[in-house]
Amino acid sequence: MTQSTLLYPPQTVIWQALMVVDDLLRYPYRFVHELAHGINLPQKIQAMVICSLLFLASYGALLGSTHSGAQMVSTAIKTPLLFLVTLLICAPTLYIINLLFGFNLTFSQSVSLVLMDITITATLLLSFAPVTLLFVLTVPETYASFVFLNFIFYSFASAIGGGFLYQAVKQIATSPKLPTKPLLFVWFIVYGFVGTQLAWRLRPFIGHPNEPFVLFRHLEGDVYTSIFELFRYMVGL
Amino acid sequence: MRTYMTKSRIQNQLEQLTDSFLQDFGVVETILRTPQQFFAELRDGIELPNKIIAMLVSSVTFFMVYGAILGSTHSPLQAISSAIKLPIVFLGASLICLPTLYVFSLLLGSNERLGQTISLILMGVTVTGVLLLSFAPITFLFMLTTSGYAFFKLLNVAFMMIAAYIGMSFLRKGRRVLEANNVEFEVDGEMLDEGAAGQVPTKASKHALFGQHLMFRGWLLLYFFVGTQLSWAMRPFVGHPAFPFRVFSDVGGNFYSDIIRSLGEVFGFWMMP
Repeated sequence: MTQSTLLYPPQTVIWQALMVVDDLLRYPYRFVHELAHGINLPQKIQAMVICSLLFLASYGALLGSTHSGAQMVSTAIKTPLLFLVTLLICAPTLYIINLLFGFNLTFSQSVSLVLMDITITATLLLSFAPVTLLFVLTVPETYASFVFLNFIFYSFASAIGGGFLYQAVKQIATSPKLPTKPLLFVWFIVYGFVGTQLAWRLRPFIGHPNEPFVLFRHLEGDVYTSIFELFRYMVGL
Repeated sequence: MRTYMTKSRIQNQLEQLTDSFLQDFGVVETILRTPQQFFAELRDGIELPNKIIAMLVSSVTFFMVYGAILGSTHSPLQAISSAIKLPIVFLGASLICLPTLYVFSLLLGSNERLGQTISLILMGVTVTGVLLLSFAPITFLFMLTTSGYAFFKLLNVAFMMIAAYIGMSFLRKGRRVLEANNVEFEVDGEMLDEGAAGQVPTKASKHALFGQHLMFRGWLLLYFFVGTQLSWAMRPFVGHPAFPFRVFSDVGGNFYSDIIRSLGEVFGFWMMP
């Protein structure tokens, strides 16, 4: 690679998207400010979709690679699908809720706010990838502890992403009296409710080492019934 | 007389090499004597590539020397093996934790470039290395006077933990200086005014987001786990006197259970199986 291509990298779509996300991480207030004023909104949404797709697919591929090549491809597709399809399903509800609480954000503004959350989560997850890789390479009999490690990483990344969403909504609110916390709470409930169910249907993401590759596990019912069943089993009813 | 003055080409090159080596070691003195100045230079991005190379050279040398001392209790082969493995552990752990530190820093409001993050983490590693090397005479004394393998191993684990902790506290101090050049509130060359976008969050409120210290401590915990895991994967460094030389040990278990077992062996409440 010559120096000129290093200094002026190709202006591909992916590169531009990365630059937008770099902007989001470096100057979140300016980013949210522009978002509030609707500056370059389609470009921002496109960039965030591309980057979160890319990051989540990479991390998903790493997760699936502990099982098999087929699982790797399957998880690489399923992980971004989980986050973005959940957003797609929830978007109308999230939009209406924002109107009900009096925030008066446009549809694309509310979508891009949630997308911002997803992008930050995805970036953090990707930054954990080397640690995950070390874990995979050096810890024997990994399955249970690997699931636990990823549970921690996902929760942490989601919490930070959520924290940023909170700050952004606080900034974008036209009046400090608007109910930021209730809005966030309802948004999280809706998004989390749909996301958990979708994640349950899309399993397995990691794949148990003793079982052959399956695209989906054939399970009855939904996550909530299963948790209730598990609870009943534990209590001994 | 003339033959006395001229040096052979090899001699010249050797001297040049030694000179550049000594210059590289000079960076350690700068870090330890004038840390604030060093941090300020990192913040302003002055001669970052030179600094990175200097720190890389000196830290690798320090770890190699200390690794060789560790391994020399067992055999010359172990000394060579440990001299190669110890730099890999410390620099590898830093490399693995680098992306996380970079993203954490950006999220916490710093505006640093990747080169600055690399320099910061390398600075921590270099301080760790020089501290570890300063422990070397003590290690040497114990090597000559004690015969207990478990005790020697625990002593070194303690030294490495202390050195890494102090090295990372340098990293924390450096991060504070780097955060000072935050131009967060500029929008199109203008500072955001109070009414521009509802509430304009202050820098303090942003840093209070998840707690600057909490997040950095979380990263330290990650670094600790990665470091111990990597060192466990790369063991042995000292080499049990009863076993022949091996590059990698294949005995199962993990770092923490081994520490507890060694403690038990030293204090006599648990015999080694």
